[in-house]
Amino acid sequence: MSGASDGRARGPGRARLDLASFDGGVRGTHEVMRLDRYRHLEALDAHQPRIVRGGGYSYAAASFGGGAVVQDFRPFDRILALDETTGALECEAGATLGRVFEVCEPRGWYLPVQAGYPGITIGGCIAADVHGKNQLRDGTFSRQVESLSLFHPRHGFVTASAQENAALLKSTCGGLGLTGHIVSARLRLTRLPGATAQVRRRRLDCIEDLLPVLEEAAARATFVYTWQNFTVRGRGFGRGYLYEGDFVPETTRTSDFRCTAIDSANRARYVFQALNGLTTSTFNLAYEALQRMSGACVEIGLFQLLFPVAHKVAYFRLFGRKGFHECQLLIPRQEFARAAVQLREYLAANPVPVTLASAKLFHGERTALRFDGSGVCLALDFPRGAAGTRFANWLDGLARDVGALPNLIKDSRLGSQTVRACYPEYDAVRNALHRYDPERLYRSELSERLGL
Amino acid sequence: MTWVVIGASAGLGRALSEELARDGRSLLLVASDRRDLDALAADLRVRFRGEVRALECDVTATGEATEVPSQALADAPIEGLLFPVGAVAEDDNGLLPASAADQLIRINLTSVISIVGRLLPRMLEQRHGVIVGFGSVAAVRGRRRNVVYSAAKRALESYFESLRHLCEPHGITVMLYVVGFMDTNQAFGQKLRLPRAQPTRLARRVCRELGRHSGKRYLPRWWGPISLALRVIPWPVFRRLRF
Repeated sequence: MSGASDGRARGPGRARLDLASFDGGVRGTHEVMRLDRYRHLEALDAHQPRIVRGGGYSYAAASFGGGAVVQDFRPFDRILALDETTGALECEAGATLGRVFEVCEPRGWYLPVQAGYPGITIGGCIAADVHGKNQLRDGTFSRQVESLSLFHPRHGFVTASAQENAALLKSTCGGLGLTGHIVSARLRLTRLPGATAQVRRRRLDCIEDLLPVLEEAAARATFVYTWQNFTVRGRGFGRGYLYEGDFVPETTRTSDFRCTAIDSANRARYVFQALNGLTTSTFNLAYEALQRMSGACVEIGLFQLLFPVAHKVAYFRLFGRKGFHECQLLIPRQEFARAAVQLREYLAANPVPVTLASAKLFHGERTALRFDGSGVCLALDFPRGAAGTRFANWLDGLARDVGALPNLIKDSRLGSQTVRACYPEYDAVRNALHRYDPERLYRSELSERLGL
Repeated sequence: MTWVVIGASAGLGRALSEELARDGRSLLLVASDRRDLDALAADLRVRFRGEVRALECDVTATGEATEVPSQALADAPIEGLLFPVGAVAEDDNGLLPASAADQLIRINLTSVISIVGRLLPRMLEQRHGVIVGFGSVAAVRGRRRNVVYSAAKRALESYFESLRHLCEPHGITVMLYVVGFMDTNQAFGQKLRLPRAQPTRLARRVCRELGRHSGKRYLPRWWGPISLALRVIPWPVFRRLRF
């Protein structure tokens, strides 16, 4: 027994813990250090491989594995500065999106680009260079990053910004946590136009409807995404809804900050996989019916808009302990029709219960290993299992065929061959990492699997 | 009126600092590393817009180091003194070298006594204020582990009892919380037989009760009956228990 203390001899907490990727695809027992003081950053032997872990919501095993000691950085969640006139926010990398929202929203500021669950950390968003609700308009998370403070045992504490160590800033945003420990970040917030948003729904009759409607909506709306039913066969394949929304100006705060807690451990609390061939079709039909019955235009709070997953975590639990695959492909616009035909044909011949299919439009530049560029971002969820794995492997082939980018952070089984084939800068990234860190101290299951 | 938190940078100390700032109290945060303190003070200023000062001071250092909080306060009236400070050592099994044992006693006991000693005359003069200490359920009975730590925490209980005698007639409330397992670095990853409490939850209760009573309380409450049961176990039985 022991009681009040400010630390086990004031050192970091250490334990061997079972960790899993959020999709359930990678599991293992790893040495974990919980850091809650600045001196803990330097507590580990300078030659010991390590990797930083935030909320642990990455679908791929980006924050453990590869023989690295896991450094749990969640206690570093403090807001260091907020300039309410310019919207410049400085925070530690363990600060969650929820914490940033809670502090900034009442003062009229927000991050337009962010991941969909409030427990995800700022460090995680930077390392994965996540995209938000309208990448076409807002770009990826790195667009909001002004500067970073990084720690690396070989280089010490380093500041990276457009003026100072610009290459390091570029390689850290979307760098999968391999360039060092992101300690804090200075971000550029956007003025909040209103505290609620009006969401309009439009029917899509088939997958062929998608591209023109998406292009038209993305050009004018603040956020745009689709929900599509990939369990329907024949002409109706890919039918569903397009959602576009805009802020309602001058509305007052109605945000409810409550969120259902989930993490990679309790996501897998049910042994049974409830989403299968039969239940998924029923589930999708029920969702469609529900959408038909609800109004074509609804007003929702900002929290619900930015964090759509906050109250829908049960969906992830239905995949059970076995888990799920998420494959996210950024398909060039000119190739989307061909990819859609191939998808329709594959799923007609090899039924896979696709529980979620959603598309967004992207515009950007393909650089490094970032999930960025121009095209249609198509996200597909399906249960883990033999059929699911065959489908995921087939999607790798589709990506190569149509010149699509697979999202590294969303897929815990993606192989280095596929990544090397799809990302032209793979070798350049790998070489730069080895030059910056010859010992390759920051590593994970993801980096080892990809041969980085 | 300033609230002083000694050992503010992590665990229960950080949680208490947040709760006090949330209540709009003016704070002086004391800990050994300027970087942790500056980050915490900045966070509390941004989130709660309160007055928060940070003071780097290693309370385990001997001599004049314990004067630093007193000097930093200058003539400002002291509303409360909180001591969520302490540490354990992995090898505290009765064979700890003298220097390590001294260090444990300093951080868990004598640092508190020294700082209270420096500030108490001002508080007695004010005839107003709160002093809060934090003991441990480890001190309920002597065990094979945490030998020096438990001894220091038991001495702290005795010290706070004496402090009550001295302070109560002068309008100063003195409270000692005996804390059970907490979700801090100390218990991180350990397989414990009883649940660990979240520091934020414990801090909320402490802040709710500030200045209301003098005495000793268990944190969480259910450790009270467990401690009582442990205390009445006869030695021939207790020595066979492995915990």
